[in-house]
Amino acid sequence: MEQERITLIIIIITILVLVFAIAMIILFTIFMHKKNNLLADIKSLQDCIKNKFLEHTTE
Amino acid sequence: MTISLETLRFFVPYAELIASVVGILYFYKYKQTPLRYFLYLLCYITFTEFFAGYASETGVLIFYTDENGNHYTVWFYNVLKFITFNTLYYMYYKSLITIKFKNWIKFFAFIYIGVFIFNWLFIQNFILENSESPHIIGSIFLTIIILFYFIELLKSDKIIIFHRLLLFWISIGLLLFHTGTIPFTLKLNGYMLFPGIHKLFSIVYILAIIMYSIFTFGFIWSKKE
Repeated sequence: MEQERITLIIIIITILVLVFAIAMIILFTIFMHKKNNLLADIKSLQDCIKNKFLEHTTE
Repeated sequence: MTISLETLRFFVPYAELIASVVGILYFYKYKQTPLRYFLYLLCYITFTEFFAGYASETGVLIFYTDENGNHYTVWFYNVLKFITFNTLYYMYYKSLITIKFKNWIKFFAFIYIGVFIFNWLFIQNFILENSESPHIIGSIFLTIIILFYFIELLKSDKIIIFHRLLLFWISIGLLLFHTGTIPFTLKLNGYMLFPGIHKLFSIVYILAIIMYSIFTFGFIWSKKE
């Protein structure tokens, strides 16, 4: 009975810890994707400004 | 269809072997980086796993056999864990750039080695028992170090190709395995003495197979560094 209780506790803690680890991975992946998109936006903005500047100078 | 524990246990060394072979095939991608130590470690883990199986049958390099004729191969795994944690710490130490994180890794390695030696000398028998406390402390430290890596990755420009970085996939695999096995490791020696394989060992086997599959995927998917 005691042994079964310990086994159950270990299973519950394992599930909780795994949920924590998976949540952490998902959270970091979301942050990374967000920063990734942000960098892509900045790059397209830079390209846009550069093109406008080139247009302006050629005129 | 149900998969037995014996089947799961049987697959673990082969999952390691597949990861090692794929790692060797894609070695050119990361041979100039500290990640090469990870491949050496993976080969050593695979060798230990197969050799321990061979030793338990033949009695080679076995220092203790019980009255039922069971050969104790625990010391192979105790040495393996000691080398594994230190190699991983060293790999992250070499891979990270932030000085503060590097200092923390040095501190963790120092504490881990201290706990391992103390446990070996005064608490647990190195030949007969799995070193539980060093394993738990080593896993907690490794989890923190992986968080350091994620924080540094988040701040760096490497984030643009984070899903093509081998260390990212290695970190994911290690994080899942080491956090998931901490609770079971607390009572590992007790469960090892049960007749047959206790159902809780399925946690370790399933997480190990997932971890080595992630490593294999990482070796294939990652870009040359």
